[in-house]
Amino acid sequence: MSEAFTGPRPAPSVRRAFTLLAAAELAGMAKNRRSLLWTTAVPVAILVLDVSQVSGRAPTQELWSFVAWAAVMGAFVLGLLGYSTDLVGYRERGVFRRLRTTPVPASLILVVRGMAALVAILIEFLVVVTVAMVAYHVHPTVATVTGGLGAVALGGLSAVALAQVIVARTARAQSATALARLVLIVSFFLNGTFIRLQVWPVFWQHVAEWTPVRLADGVLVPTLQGQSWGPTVWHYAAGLTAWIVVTGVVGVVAFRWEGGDR
Amino acid sequence: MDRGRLNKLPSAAMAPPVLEVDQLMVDYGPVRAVDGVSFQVFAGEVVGLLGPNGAGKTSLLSVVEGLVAARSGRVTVAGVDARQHPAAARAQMGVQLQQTAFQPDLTLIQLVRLYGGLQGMALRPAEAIAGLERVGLHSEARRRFGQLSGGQQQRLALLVALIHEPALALLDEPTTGLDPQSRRELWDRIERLAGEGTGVVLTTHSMEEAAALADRLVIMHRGRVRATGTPEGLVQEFQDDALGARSPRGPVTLEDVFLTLTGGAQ
Repeated sequence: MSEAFTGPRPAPSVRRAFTLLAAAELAGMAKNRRSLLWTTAVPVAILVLDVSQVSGRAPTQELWSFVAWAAVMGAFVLGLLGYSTDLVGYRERGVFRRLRTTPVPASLILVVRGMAALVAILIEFLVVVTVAMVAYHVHPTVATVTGGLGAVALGGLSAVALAQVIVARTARAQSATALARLVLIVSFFLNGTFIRLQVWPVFWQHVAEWTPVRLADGVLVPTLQGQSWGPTVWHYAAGLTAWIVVTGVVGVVAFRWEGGDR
Repeated sequence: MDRGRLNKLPSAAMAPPVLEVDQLMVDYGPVRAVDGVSFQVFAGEVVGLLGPNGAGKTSLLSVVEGLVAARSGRVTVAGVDARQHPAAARAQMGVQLQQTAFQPDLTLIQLVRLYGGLQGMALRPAEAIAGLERVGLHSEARRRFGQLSGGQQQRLALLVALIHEPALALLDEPTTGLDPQSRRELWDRIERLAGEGTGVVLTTHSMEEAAALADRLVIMHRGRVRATGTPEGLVQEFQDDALGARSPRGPVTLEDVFLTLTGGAQ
């Protein structure tokens, strides 16, 4: 150990700490294969179910809307539910406490956790697109996939930031998980998953239009269908960005590092 | 323990302390967990922080570690104001928490390299394995943290806490749950650590451990320091005190002193 044991040294740079933490997160994620499999199975199952409801061969544009919806649902299941469970696990086990005894800024620890979750969401999207290509013979262009990755990243970040707020404001693991589930179900409900939006009162249709799931779907569908972004899509993207900024800041600044009541 | 080390303390005390806690107060809402605590730790000194559950030991350490904000007071680690510059202070200390927790899916090599890196060291895999060998865990190097026994987890936690050779080591009940053999090994490591010049703060509920390892004791109760001194000095002081401890089983012991000071004596 030539370099070791030579006395205290300065804290690592933020870039170096980021690299170390990110590598550790990705290594941990890669080792948890069962979780990865489950993560990708959810959106693929949604895609297969959606397509199976269409009689005959679904038009390409409709297939892309199914891919988009599967990716959005997968992103929110993983981002909102999976990520909040991960955060709570780290908090309950004391991993955050251990990391915070190092010289690394606490906010960096959260940022890296969030980015690792985002990487998983992007991988999930690529798996869904691959399944769609193989099983349903859609042929995306590089631009479509790239744009889709960007749109999924926006939606995924909004889910991750929302999860962070949930964990920031709840003291106990059970409360955080229950609240994340509730928010997830309400989000899907507001996207018309259970009752079509068109039959809702107009006021609630407007409310639903500005929820993260609806906004993410509104950005991803036209992107995957290869349409150019009109003013409506830009509005959706701006709304999603606003969600990310507000919930992201609240989730980091007000994060509750310790579980329990104290 | 190496009582020869005690002889070094007066000269060590001439140097600035590696930890200085001055009039520290910590509140949790209406509850005052730490109430005006002051003490110092010098290089090469093992200070035992004793107290019953809820005495404020962990709260005190949490402030030093920068995990909890103090209401008032001053904490200096190796000359760095820990409240003003918590990251710089944390770079000078090694911490073993009461609850040993690392990322469960990472292997021991990955954990040693990660936490070494976060303390400013770039360790190659071979160097991480060499570190693991020092605590007898090299054969487990590629196992995940979650697969280790409690004793192995404690040994890894100690390695990680000390890998960067900090000026100050904060060890919060490091031997809890260890078998006697592992506990003795850990005692040896703590003694070696102090022998190499690291200041150590050790919290424990074991009077045997405190007497064996600590050069000086700080006994806390209800957030306040009730007594400080060497283990022998405290026992002697209470033995000479007519109102002091009354041991029902022969000579006064450190446990008698502790129970008397913390209200647990019959």
